Amino acid sequence: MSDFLLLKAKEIQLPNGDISRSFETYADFSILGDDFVNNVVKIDTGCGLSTFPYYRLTGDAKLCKEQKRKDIENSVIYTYSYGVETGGRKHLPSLTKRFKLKNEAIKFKHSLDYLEIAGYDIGSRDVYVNYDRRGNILIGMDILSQFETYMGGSIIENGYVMISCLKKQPDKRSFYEAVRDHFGMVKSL
Amino acid sequence: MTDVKINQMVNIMDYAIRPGIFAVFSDYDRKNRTGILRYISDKISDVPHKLRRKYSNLCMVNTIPASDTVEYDIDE
Repeated sequence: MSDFLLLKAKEIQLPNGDISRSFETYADFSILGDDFVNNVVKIDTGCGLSTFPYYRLTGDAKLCKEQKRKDIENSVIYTYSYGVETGGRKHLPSLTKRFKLKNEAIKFKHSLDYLEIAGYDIGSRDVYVNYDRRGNILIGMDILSQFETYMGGSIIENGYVMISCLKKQPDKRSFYEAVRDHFGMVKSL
Repeated sequence: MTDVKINQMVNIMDYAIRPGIFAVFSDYDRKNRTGILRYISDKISDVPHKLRRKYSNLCMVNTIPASDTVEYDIDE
């Protein structure tokens, strides 16, 4: 188990010569009665509410339909997304159960019993589950805003890194040492 | 896939370190990181729903990289 989160940006060289960078890593968590080990998640500061596409988690389309129906029947708290998979369009609110079932942008609030990102224990968190999308698991600002984070080019290894620690963590010595080592920054206390 | 032991108790981490796999286990022991391998694939395709009827709690390993066809994820 780690005392802080250290991620190195994944770099992809595009055919036009540009380099695309993103932070993606592995996470362990438990949600809706199942456990997930080493599932790839993407850090997304442009995402307000962490979103877990259930099909990506389970690979079971029938289960996704069943669970969505259950969430609607049980009046589970929900909200709507808009973004790449819906062409940037905002969705009209779904007023009936039938429309909610059809609406692909609707996502429902559920608890992660535990969440470890790259071996760093985040604890129990609420996230939103979408039953229709098949994109990436996104760790958004609802979780990221709980961290103290530094990002930049590392001076000790090749690449762009992100170093984070939960704000409420009592002992942050290892975290500040990593910030000093990678960025040459020292925090005055 | 080589060295795949379907319906046998395995160390989950032996599979979790393999890049680009989607594997489903039953009887997951979080402390010892063991489970019985029930399904494995190199893509997220339709996992047999019958697994849900047989086993109440499953463990999924998914080391398939984040989609590179989606250039950015904007979601609110």
